[in-house]
Amino acid sequence: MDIKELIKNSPFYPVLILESIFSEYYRRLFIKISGSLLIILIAVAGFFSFSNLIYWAPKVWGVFFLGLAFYLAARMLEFYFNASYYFDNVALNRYQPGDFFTFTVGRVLLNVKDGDILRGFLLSPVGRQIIRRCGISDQATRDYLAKRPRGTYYKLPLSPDQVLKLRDLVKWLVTNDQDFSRWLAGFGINEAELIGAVGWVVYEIEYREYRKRWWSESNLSKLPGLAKDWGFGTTYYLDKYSWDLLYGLDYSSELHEYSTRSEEVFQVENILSKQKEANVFIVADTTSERMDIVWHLVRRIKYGETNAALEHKRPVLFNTAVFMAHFKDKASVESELLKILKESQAAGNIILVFDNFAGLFQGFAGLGSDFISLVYPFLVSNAIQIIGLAGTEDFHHLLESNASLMATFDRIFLRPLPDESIIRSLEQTVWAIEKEHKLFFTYPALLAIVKSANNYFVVSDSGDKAVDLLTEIIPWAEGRSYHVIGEDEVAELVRGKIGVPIGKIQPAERESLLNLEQNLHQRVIGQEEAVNQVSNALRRARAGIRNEARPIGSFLFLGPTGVGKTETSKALAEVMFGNEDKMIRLDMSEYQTTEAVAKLIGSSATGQSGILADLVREHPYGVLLLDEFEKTPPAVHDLFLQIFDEGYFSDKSGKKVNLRNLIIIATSNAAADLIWQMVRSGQAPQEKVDELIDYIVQRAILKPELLNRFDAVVVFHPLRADELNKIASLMLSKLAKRLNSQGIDLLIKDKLAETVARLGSNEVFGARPMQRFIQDKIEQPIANAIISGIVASGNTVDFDIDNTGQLTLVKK
Amino acid sequence: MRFVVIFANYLIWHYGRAIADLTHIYGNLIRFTFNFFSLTILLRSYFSPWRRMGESYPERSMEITAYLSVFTVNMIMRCVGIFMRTIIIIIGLMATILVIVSYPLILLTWLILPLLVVFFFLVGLGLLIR
Repeated sequence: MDIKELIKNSPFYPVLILESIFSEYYRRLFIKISGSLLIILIAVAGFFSFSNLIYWAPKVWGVFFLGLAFYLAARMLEFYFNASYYFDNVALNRYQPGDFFTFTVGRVLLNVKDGDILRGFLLSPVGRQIIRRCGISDQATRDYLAKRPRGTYYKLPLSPDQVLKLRDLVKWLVTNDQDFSRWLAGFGINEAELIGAVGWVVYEIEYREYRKRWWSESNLSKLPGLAKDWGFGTTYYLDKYSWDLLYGLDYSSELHEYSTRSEEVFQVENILSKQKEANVFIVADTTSERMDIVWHLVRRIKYGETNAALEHKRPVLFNTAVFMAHFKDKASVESELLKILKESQAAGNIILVFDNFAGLFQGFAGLGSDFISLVYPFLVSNAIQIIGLAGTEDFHHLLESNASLMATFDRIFLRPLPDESIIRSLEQTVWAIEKEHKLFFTYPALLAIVKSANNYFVVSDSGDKAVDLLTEIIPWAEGRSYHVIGEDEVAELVRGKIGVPIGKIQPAERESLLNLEQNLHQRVIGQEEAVNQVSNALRRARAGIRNEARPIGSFLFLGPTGVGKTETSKALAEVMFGNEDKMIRLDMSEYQTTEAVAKLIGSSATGQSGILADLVREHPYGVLLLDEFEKTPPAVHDLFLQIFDEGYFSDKSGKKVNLRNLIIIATSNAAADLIWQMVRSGQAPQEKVDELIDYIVQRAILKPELLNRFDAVVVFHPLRADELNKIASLMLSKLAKRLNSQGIDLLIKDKLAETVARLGSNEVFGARPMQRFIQDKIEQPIANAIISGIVASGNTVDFDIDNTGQLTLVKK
Repeated sequence: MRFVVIFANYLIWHYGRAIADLTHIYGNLIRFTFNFFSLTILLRSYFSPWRRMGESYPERSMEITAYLSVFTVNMIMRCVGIFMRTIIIIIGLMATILVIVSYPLILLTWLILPLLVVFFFLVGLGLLIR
């Protein structure tokens, strides 16, 4: 059946024809304009009727009646269209198998000329909207259509027992038309993103239509009635410390209309509807997560959507801080609380929401009062309902252990939201933002927001981070006069915020990545293979091959002491994150006992927070250096096994700590002896990595599975004499630079560098003692000379070296 | 031909499905008016005191005047409640009746609307070419 025939046989045929003759857009425009004109005409006609220019009045009235006839006709058509289009199909999804396709698909097919379905889709209003949401401009679409090799003439996938929906049609198009999917791929759009954009556009259409139906029962019930609370009491004392949520602002905010936590809200509703002990703790990490549930409940009460038990209830937010600030002694705080509770009970419709239940509990304890025993009689009564909001840690620490509280309260722990729910809530929030700020978000931008929120701002498991990021984009984009927010703009914002290179590789970063070796070598002398290996691994990571659910990179640096392992880590922090302070260092030899894991991640038994958890939370982006990694017990190795695999660990209270934005470097001199042996026998240890790994595994220093998790095992060989000389020169030139700022020149002759290298290094510690040597033998004499006035600004300092290597300061 | 299809389909809708929808919407409006003026709640709590205000009777006192004074205060509160509720109930009932009565009028208008459009068109044309 060809497409024209198909439309003709469809039950939507009459409405689709109406659409092709007089489209929805023009119809609505006509109604708007003609409606306004009619009002003007009434005024004009009235004026002429009462004025002396009576001759013109019939003409004006004539125009008025004609206009009225057209206006009414257009209105009737609009009613007809809405009824056929909306009532049965869009809103109630009452499609029947015989319909073949949905109304929206019908509209697309209506655009099809000569059987080219893709062209019809891309030129239809809904298709254009979808493609724009993918971040592709109308012009780009037109160019594509003009240059396209051939049209899509495949047979539509219609079946008599299935209704073809828009997403099915688009999916079919992208699967069957390779050229189309390649074109999309050119803009970085894959099938899933395209289908996501379809979902968003269709959702917007449905939502808009739903809102327009003011006469529907659910929309009518949103108007608050009169005299609803006349049968309930007033709360004089409670009002002093609280806020009536029904009159709060947030309930009507369109930004929050879509709650992603309907399941939890229903649970709260059911608990509060119980005959007695209708109390509930809402436990989550952030206030906004906890309040999100409360606001949703408030909205349902306000709009009369709750079950009968909660109808006409008045949820009141009790402000703990304001209340506690009023009292200094036990007697007054107790008597005020009792007044409030009795009054709330007498009022008969109060749902008391304690904003910080644990805080109140502690505040009372601080005044020597037992909050729980005061509240207990009210908790078991059926006249009052209580919602206690609490943070996860507070709940576990302060409230969970109280048996009477646990017996009278149900508990709801907010589960992490799936990405789909977060995206859905963003989709709705974006409409409001776009309307108000004249911005346009693409669907990939939304995905990027959710992904960035997950990967780069792991503080808690909430969709809040995503909404926060979205809200942050508004002023940021306006400040830069951006109108379209795509994936790249989101990456740019996040990059600026956290200082970690993400998104498209920027020119400066490209330069730095390509010259990574040279940049590292400015600080790291020798160790060519090690530097190359690390550079390649990081380039691989940045090229997008990196798994974002793992740390940016993880390396094991093997080698004797003082050969540049730490220096390489510092250099990496500087090159990759712009500052060597971006390196955090843990000396793992301090974590050798059985409590090591508890010390690192914290312990709920002692209540102590973990050192690793705190460090990483404070510095989530940069280089984490684990010195002498082999010295910690296997339990710590297992912890890092998980970190290398998943990029996070859970601290003592179960909160996730994110290490996905760190380069983790473990150093070890476990195989140092073998490395020395190899060097002495003339072998290059950096070429014998497997042998070194075998050595480590055989001696059970590190487990093979842990070794396999590292992106690279990098071997640092002992430094050769020429390398030591270079290091000495580098260190001396740093000192010379410092002296230079005081106007003193230091002459660095080759012999001086050689002497420093020879006497300042040894086999066991490599170049490590060199700094100390310079300090003792060079800096100290210069400092003495400056203080005693022998050397002053404008002088040059040199050192004589005798046969024993004794250094003598010479002023020139 | 296409216009004929739309026109025929429109008329079938106008005198069939549309009337059912209109009736359904009217049902919504009546329910809404009833709820908006809280008629059920007000009737149920017709005799309760205004906003649950009132005093409690003394527990151990035998003094009759104390009882009488509390009784008077509570009685006044009930009367205030009854008075306020009566006003809202009367307004609410009137509004509901208005909505119900308007239904046949609106329905009639709907039924003759196609004719009205033709009529307005002809009147307008007539006035213009007169």
